[in-house]
Order: sequence, then C-alpha cells, then structure tokens
Amino acid sequence: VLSILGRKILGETRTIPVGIGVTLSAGAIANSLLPGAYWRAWGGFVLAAMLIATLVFSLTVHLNRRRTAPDRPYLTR
Amino acid sequence: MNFLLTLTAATGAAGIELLEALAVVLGVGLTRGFRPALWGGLAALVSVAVLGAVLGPALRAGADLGVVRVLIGGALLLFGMEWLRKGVLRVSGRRRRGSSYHEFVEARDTSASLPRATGGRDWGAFGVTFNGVLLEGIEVGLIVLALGSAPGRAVPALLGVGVALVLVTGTGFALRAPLQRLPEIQIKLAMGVALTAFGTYFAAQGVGVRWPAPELAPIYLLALFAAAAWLAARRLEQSIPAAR
Repeated sequence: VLSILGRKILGETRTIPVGIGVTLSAGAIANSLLPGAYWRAWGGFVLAAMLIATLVFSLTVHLNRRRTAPDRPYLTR
Repeated sequence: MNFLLTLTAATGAAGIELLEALAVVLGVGLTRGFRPALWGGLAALVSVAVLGAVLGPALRAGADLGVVRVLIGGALLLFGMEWLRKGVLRVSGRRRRGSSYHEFVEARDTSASLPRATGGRDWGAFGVTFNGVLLEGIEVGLIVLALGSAPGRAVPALLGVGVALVLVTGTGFALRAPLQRLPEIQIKLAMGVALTAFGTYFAAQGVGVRWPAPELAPIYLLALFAAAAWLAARRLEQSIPAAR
C-alpha cells in the first residue's frame, strides 16, 4: 500500500518531482540573492518557464525510453 | 473569482479521483455484491476524513506562511504536472488511454479471483474496496488540503469535494458499469492544467514573488500551461507516427 501510495504522490517518473524540487530551490535561492524588486516582478514567470521545461524534459525522457527499448511495448498504460 | 476557480479545481480534481474510487466499488460490487463493497468504501472514506481532520490543522498550526505556500504549491505541482504529463501523452496517442474503466475491470478481475466467503462477512471484497478507495481518497485529501490551506480557500475547496461527491455518486447510480462514456482523459488533462497553475501561483508567492494583477494570476497561468500542454501534444503528434 505504501509503495503504491508513494507512486501515486510522486508519480511514475522521477523527472517531475526532481524538476519541481530544483525549481523551488532555485526560487528560494534567487529570492535571497537577487534584488527584491526584480525578483518580485519577474520571478513567477521564471519559475513557470522552469516548470514548463520540466514537463517537456519528462515527455522527452518518456519518448527516449520507448525508442531505446524496442522489445517493450511502444505504448504504456 | 478565486472562490469560483478554487471550487472548480477542487470539484474537478476530487471528482476524477472519486470516479476511480467509484470504479473500484462498482467492480467489486458487481462481482461480489454491493454490501461488502459499500462497507469497504465507506470505511475508507471515514479513514481519510479522520486523517484529514487530524493532519490538516496540525500542518497549518504555527507554520511560517511562506513555507506553507511552498509546501501547498509543491503538493499541487506534484499532482498537476503528473496529470499534465500523462494527459499530453494520452491526447497525442503516445500512451494507452487508461481510465476509470480500467480500474473497474482491474477491481472486478481481482475480486473475482478471491476465494468466496462461505458465511458471514466477505472480508476479501471488503479489503479490495477499502484499499482502492483509501488510496484514491488520500489523493483527494492531499489535493483538498493543499487547495484549501490558502487563506479564504477552505470553504470553496471543501464545497468542491461535496459537489464532486454528489456528482460522482449520481454518475455511479446512473451509469453503473459503462464508465467508458465519460471524456475522462480530457477532464484529467484540464485538471492537470488547473492544479499546475494553482501550484505555481502558491509556490511562487512562497518564494517572494508578487504576481502582477494578483486576482488574475491564476487565470493567465491557466492559459500559459494550457498553451504549453497543447503545443507539446501537437508536437508529439507530429514527431513520430502514433500507434493507437
């Protein structure tokens, strides 16, 4: 039950939780290092762009795994 | 505006998870009888409600608002982006169209393979339903806890779960087995977009961001992530021939 629950919360791929972790950590670091006004105004869009990059990366990883594993079904559940 | 958005996001996200829980109850109920299935489902729902009532206030009490926002945003992003990823893959034909109907078939087959109860309660059927509904219920609990933790959003989040519960129960009675009719993949993709937008909104506030036109921020974030998902799905459709 715990392993299924872990998979349900973290998802099937590690790229998304890691990407979210990196994005939020980068946000916290930028918040403490960059000038306040600059980060307050534009930081949200930087974070959104990083999350979109995470999504694109996770899709690319999924497709590459399918391509490099010809013995496995092309489609997954 | 944000009341309505939170209500819609909570209704949609909780509805999707409750639909999967309903599929488990129907799958077990149709093969082993509805009595143990309903008791198992009810016991799981009560367990989730108790967990939420205990953990919710404990998580919120005394915590720094910035940290709470990052935690809320992070939790919403975990669910939202995973749904977004799966939704884009499914819509573009890169992934099998899994749905509540598959949960239904899985639960039906699992419960059919269990030994029959010779007398008294059917603990096998109870256990399968309890497990399935508990797992889906915990997901609902986490999403609602995250959506409802922001100031002034607890009411629309809880109201959303209530609406979802009524809608899904009604759907269960109306449809019984043919869950295939629902456009679940599209609904789940839309909810992935909504949860990701809310997650980004909260998490960014937690790390010091002040969104321009804050009342409109969830809406333009929704549009941004919807556009990204649409572009990704289009690109995947065009890149290699789909094997549906």
